[in-house]
Amino acid sequence: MTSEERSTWIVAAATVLIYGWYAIKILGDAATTPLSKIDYQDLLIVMVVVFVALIVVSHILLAVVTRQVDGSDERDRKIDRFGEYIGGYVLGTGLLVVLVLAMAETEHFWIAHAALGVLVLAELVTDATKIILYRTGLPLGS
Amino acid sequence: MARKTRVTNSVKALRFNADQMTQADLAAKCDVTRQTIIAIEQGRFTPSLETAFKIARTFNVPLDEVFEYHEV
Repeated sequence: MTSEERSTWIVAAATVLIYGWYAIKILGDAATTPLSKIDYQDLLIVMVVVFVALIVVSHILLAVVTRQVDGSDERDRKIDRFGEYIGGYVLGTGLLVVLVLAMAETEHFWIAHAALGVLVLAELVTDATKIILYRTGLPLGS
Repeated sequence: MARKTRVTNSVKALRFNADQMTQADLAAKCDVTRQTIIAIEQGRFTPSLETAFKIARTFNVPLDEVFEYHEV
């Protein structure tokens, strides 16, 4: 496994872990407070900081443990581009949903979490695409 | 199942004939990772023209002795 593929797994795992934790926390608060009235802002900021820190620390630890820092080559760059390309479609489509929510003057809780959901989904689709491509190869002609 | 490209190669055989050069050695000479050499040998990745030339020059053979393109 190259450093780049390993990095993709780390980001995917961190995304599921941290955003999953956030979703559970918010839904837990929903037991006592209507969802749209929950003060999520501070928790969201903490979550983003923890997410970034977790990724940085994981990369450092993995580099130390495996003593492998390959740098990316042409295959890594091609797979990265294709993964981002597919994730871009998810992001673009999802942002339309966010736009519709904003135009409908929906409460900001829902707009913020729709945007967050789209970002998370796009990231997971990008990562899943890259992992599949690392295992099976790029499509013909790409 | 690995997705095969239309470009086939004899990198593994050439590597074996070159004093059993390792994948890591070939990768280092061609500025790619060992995993990319593995993917090339398994037909899961078609290298760029530049990398293809580097591979051919490593083995000191013409490009079309390393890679073949098959019409579908």
